[in-house]
Amino acid sequence: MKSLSVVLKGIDKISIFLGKLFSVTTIIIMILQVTEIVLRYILKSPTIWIWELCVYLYGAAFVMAGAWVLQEDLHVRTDLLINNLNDRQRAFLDMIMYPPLVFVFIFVMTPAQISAAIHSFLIKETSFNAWGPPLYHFKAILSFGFVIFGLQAAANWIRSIVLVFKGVEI
Amino acid sequence: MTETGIVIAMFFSFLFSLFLGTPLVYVLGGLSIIFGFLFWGDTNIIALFVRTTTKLATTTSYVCIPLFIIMGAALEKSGAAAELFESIHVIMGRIKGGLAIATVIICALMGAATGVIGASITIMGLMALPAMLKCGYSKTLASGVVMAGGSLGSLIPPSVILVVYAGLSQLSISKLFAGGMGSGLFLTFLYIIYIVVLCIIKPDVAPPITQEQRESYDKKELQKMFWSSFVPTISLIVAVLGSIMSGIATPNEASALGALGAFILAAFKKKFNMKMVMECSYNAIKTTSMVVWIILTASMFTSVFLGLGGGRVVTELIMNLGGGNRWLILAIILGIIALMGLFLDSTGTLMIGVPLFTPILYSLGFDPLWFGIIFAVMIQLDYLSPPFAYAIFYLRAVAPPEVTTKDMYYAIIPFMLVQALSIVIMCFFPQIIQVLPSMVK
Repeated sequence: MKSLSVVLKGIDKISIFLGKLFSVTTIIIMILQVTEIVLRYILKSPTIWIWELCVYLYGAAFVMAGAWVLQEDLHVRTDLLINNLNDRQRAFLDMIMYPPLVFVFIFVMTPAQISAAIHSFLIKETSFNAWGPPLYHFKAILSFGFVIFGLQAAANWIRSIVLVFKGVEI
Repeated sequence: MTETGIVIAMFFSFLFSLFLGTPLVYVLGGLSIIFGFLFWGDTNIIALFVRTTTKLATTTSYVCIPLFIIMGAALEKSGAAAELFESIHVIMGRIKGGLAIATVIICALMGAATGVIGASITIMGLMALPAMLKCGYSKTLASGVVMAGGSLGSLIPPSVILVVYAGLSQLSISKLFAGGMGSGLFLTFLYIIYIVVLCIIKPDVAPPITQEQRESYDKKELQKMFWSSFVPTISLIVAVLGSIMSGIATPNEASALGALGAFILAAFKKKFNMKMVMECSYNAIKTTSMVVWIILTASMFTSVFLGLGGGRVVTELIMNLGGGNRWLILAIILGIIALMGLFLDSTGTLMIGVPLFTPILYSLGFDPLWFGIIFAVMIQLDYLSPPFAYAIFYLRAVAPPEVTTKDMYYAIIPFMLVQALSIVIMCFFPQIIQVLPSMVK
């Protein structure tokens, strides 16, 4: 039990660390966009790469922060029923509903994302825009985001099982 | 199973799973995979889902969402909003209902500074609500004004809802922002009219502040506050929105300038430090991630739902109910959107509602931009409508205990009626929405 708790807390830490790490991209996007404005409107020499890089930064950040949002249980849910339940009853519902919805989603999407990333690596895929950077790093980050998301979901599910059967939160 | 049978099964499993309290993201994601596999009968659907993910992660127009959130969070943390309230509150407090009117105006301004509604309700709940209660305002008027005014942020640009709507409907963000501005100002105006009328009918619900209270404020300090908070905040808002609507800057560039400007403002107020920057970015990325994950799974869900014939079933149902009268059909659709708001959040309502309803309304000759704004007003109404009124949840967290949740439910009713009235007026006078966008290039 103790070692299980250590593992679950470790997963939490990974989710939080990656979420916080990738939140820095928002500040980087701000700085890049302002630089582009200076280059374009004041120095009259716009770049072809800043806006595209900003899009990739935003995309990577939203996927990677998903696990953090999950860890803090911020994803919106309807509380019509669960407002009247105690923690253990809520955990029971999570225990039942995770496999058909959460795990189906993650078990199908994660391998599909990974194989798309591998395919992208094999064909050395690049973007179709003027700058045309390689896309496979980006796709690898997206699939990594799904892996972390899945890990965090598994951790939440195990927690709900322990709460239902042992009555303790770990 | 027949087409209608599949659609009904999908609809009810959706409602059932939501009812059991499973987060919306998984309900949408899980069901789209299950129904896609079972009834689409083709694994190509997975490739479609992967493409949807890549497409969303590379959608240029969503880059501004985290930056607008940073701008709002930085303005909030800089204390500009609090000072704004203090200075306007003494000026306006002299007349009956003045504090309530001031609250609505500041909420509208804050709506123009942030894209999310939670922030303005929280701040106004902490400052304006106790101030009004101290002055002898009725609990229902005071809390109603905070909730209704605070949710204006979903309509007044920059609004995350309008950015998402633009991405969904291929309408221009600047035109939607202009339309949101028109209707947002109109609603602000209606709220103020309501307060004035109420004060004439029942003068004791909103007494003016006493001489004594007025003198407790140092005039010089107030003037200083006005110049150091009101003027810079307004200039920042005008610069950001103005540059988008005049076409000088793209929404992404304007949002970056807005965020930078808010940080600079915070630096002038000596509130700028590393911790504050990180808190703003955490806030921004969590909200963005929440919204975009719902957009992802909701896109998957709607493509399966529409692919399995859900669109045809819903269209036929609405058309039969409406019997060919386009206004009746519009009313039915607005009714459905109101119902959706009872159990979905704003992004979910948008993602499912737009692909289902816009084809019907476009075919009946309704203006796409006009309906986009009406949809946004409906979503704002969803924030206010019990039992799942987000506005009440946000206010409950900060309101003094003497204001009960029951007071808040009563408080919200007149403002919901004003809101419904505004939709009717905007049906008769679409110019309210259309004038500003027509000036946008």
